[in-house]
Amino acid sequence: MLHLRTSGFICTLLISLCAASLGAKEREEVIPKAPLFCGVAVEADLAGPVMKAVSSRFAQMEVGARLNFRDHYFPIFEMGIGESDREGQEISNRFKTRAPYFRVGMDYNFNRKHNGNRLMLGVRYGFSSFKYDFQNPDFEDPIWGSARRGLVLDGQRGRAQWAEFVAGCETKLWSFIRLGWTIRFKARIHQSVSDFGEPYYTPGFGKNGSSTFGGTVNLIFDVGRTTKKVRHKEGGKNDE
Amino acid sequence: MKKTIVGLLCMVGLAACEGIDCTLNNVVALNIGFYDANGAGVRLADTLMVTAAGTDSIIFNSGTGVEALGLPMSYERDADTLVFSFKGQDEEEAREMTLIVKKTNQWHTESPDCPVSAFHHLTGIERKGGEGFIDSVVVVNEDVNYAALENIRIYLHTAD
Repeated sequence: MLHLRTSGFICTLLISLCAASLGAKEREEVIPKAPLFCGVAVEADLAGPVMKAVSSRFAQMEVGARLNFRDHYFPIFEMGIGESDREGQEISNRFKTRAPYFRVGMDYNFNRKHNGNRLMLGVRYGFSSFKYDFQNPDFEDPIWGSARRGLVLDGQRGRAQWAEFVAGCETKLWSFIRLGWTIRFKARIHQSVSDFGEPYYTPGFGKNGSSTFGGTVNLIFDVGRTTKKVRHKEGGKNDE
Repeated sequence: MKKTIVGLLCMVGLAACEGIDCTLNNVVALNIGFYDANGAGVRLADTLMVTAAGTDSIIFNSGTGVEALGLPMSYERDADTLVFSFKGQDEEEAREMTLIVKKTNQWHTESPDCPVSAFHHLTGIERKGGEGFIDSVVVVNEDVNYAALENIRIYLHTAD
């Protein structure tokens, strides 16, 4: 199943790439070059608060900041708080964690026109250092007995590093406000966890495993834009 | 572009699915095998019963033709005392051997949906009784976990 999902994701990336490049070839019009530095943007993920509101298995509230070079290259930094507080479906185990996470990376915009729409592919390196709790109040040794009832494994330490392959798009809503989304294939690079076992959820990564999928819905604000300069340089042909 | 959108939606749908993927082989037991003096596996001619000393638990009851068995270990004790009772068909009283299995314990968790287990590492073994029908007891694998490997070999006195 994992291989199927991975190949599906790679196929989608390739299709996106081909569509972008074919589209560009078909329209061989002269597109003015954007200036080297086109501004800064900050963004917030809208999916995290929604996941938290609907009591999802875990939620990630994150914000990010990115630079814009030539309207094609977007170095980006993302940080957030990941949390999970989950009880087992059939047994009274409880897993709990809440910790920050960080990502750095780069996006590339395949849309050659500077019309406010962007088709992005990118990569991220993510890492998190966190503590997690595991409890079962009803746990007991059924045969040998136990001096105490219940299991409490609080404050277990974990660290994780992972890579993300990102595909997404965004468009301009109004003036300096943009809306976009990404989907992400995440592959674990390294993790160190407690001897008691792996955490159910890794902040920033998602449900723990060698790989997983994720996504964001981003509200993006262009700040310190150089729109006017771009317009001036390019004779007002472009929005950006 | 339509294909791309359909592909992306399919992937999101797949990613949304979740099952309870606990380890299927999630039994932790002290695995014991019986061997003759030459090191070949044997089936016990006697009826075997194993009790957990200090409790009222019979952890293996009235086994016949036993070649190997798996016994539950305590989750948190430093040593488990196992009383083996061997009883032949013509015998009125069972012959007993006591094994004190010393160990360290390690909790093991996977997911809130999966049962918690205690793994063990055997640090020593002590035998009391069994002279005349047990030659020796040997630890062959110290780790008691999901791997379900044989941990202890009991060599019966089968040759003079």
